[in-house]
Amino acid sequence: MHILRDDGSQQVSRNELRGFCVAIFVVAAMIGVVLPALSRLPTVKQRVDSLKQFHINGNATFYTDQTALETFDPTESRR
Amino acid sequence: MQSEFSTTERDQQTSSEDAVRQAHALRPHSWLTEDYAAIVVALVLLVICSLSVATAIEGEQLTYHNRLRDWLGLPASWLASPFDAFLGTATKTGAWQRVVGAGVILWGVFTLGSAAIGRSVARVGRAFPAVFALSVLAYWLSENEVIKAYSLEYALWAIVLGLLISNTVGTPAWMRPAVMTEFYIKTGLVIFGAEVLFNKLLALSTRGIMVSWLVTPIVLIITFWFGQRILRIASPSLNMVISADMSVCGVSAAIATAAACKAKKEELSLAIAISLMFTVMMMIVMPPVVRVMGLNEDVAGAWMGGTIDSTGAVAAAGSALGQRAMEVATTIKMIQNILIGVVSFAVAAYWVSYVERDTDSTRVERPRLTEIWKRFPKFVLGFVLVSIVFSAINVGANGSSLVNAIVKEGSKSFRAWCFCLAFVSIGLDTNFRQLAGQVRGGKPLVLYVAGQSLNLGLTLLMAWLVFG
Repeated sequence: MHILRDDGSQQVSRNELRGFCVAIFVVAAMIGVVLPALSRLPTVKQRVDSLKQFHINGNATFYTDQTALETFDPTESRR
Repeated sequence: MQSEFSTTERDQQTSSEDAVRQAHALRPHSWLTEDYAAIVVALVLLVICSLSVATAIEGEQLTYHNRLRDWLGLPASWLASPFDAFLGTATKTGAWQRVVGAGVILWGVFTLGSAAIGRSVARVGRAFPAVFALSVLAYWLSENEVIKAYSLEYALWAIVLGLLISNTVGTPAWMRPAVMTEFYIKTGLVIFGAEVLFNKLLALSTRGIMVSWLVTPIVLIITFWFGQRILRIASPSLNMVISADMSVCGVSAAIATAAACKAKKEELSLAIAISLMFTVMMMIVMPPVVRVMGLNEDVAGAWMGGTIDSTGAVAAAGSALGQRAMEVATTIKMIQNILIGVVSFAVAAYWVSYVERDTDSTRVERPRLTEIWKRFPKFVLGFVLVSIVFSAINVGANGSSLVNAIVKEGSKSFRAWCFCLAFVSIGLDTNFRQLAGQVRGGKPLVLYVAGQSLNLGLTLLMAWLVFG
């Protein structure tokens, strides 16, 4: 529970601060240790290279984000 | 998203008419409703992108480019060093300038725009950089090549980062003024209209249109009906968001329909979490399944394009089978993407005409047109109008080059940042208990699995009929 001071600001309890530090540590470990280790796995490396080869944006939310669409013509003449 | 002034318990809701009145009463200093303010902010950003377009002559062809293209963008992808996302490598220029440029423009526009909805300019101005910094962190994580290869999109990281703060030390009071989920989503959707080009559809594969436009609405309607009548999911908006993100195109469809049917923020989070989980599984599992089934690349591409939710994952899964499968899958998904405009408009119209009428216990007959207009989410009209205007521009001579300069080199970045800011805001405003409450009973998961099973069967049948 967050304790509200008289001036409206929040006072953070020791438990909450500990939780936050753990969260920061987990994110940092993921970036600094887990992701580099995963990127060295042959299957992951192969997948990353394959997406690069096809110019694919794996994070595309919409077709305008998809870089692969710039490498081919999606119109009727091709289909 | 559910109005921030309404209670979280659906059974305690007042009628939407009362809610509208209350919302207005509680915002005595606002000049505009949030919907109109979002349209104005989006139009300002689109005008900025349009005015920065410059012309050039290439050969005998008139072409356009955007002078802001070096000042608008997202973090670049990175693998070995996290700093590559901003500083660049020997072969790639750094993205820090584009991230800072986008941040400064959005800071200015949203800070001033928030005054229109009755928020303090000073407080929003002070809080916005912190929320934007979290969005940068979320995008930066999602741009890691390993994360990207498995299509774990920015939305996931934005919600997670927000949740980590709100559920540990709590969202600081000074940051709260810039936690404006609905405002960011509505603004992002109106800008998004410029990317939904209906005329592109005419040039695309008619066979693809048959797969996307016949199967998708059927699956959407049957899944929604299944959720309401068989599973009896208490929240129709949660049912609709899951049905839409599963049948149309993942995160972008979830955002558009959630806004159109006024879903709660935790409902949108849950729908996206389920969708991403199944997207990763289907992206990995479907290519080997297709090989075992012995489908040709056309049928396989159409099947995967019509069923895997995320636009990025569709291309990735298709490429595992070959160039042709990737092209067909991406084209099918592109056609589904364009369906978002029609779906969000139809959902908004259906919601104000039927669903809100049914939940309003004081009313039994069909609401009058004036009432429908009052309840209708106006930003959806902004979204559709922007889409129509940009579709018309795209048809004209050199229109495609002009739209590319405005959208691809400009407004697309604003849309992406608006949605990311919205997801960070959702995380900052949600606690784990609210999220857990949505999963209770497992009905959302059952709904997704049932709907996706129907989608897989119908899409395969249609893909085989038209591409086989």
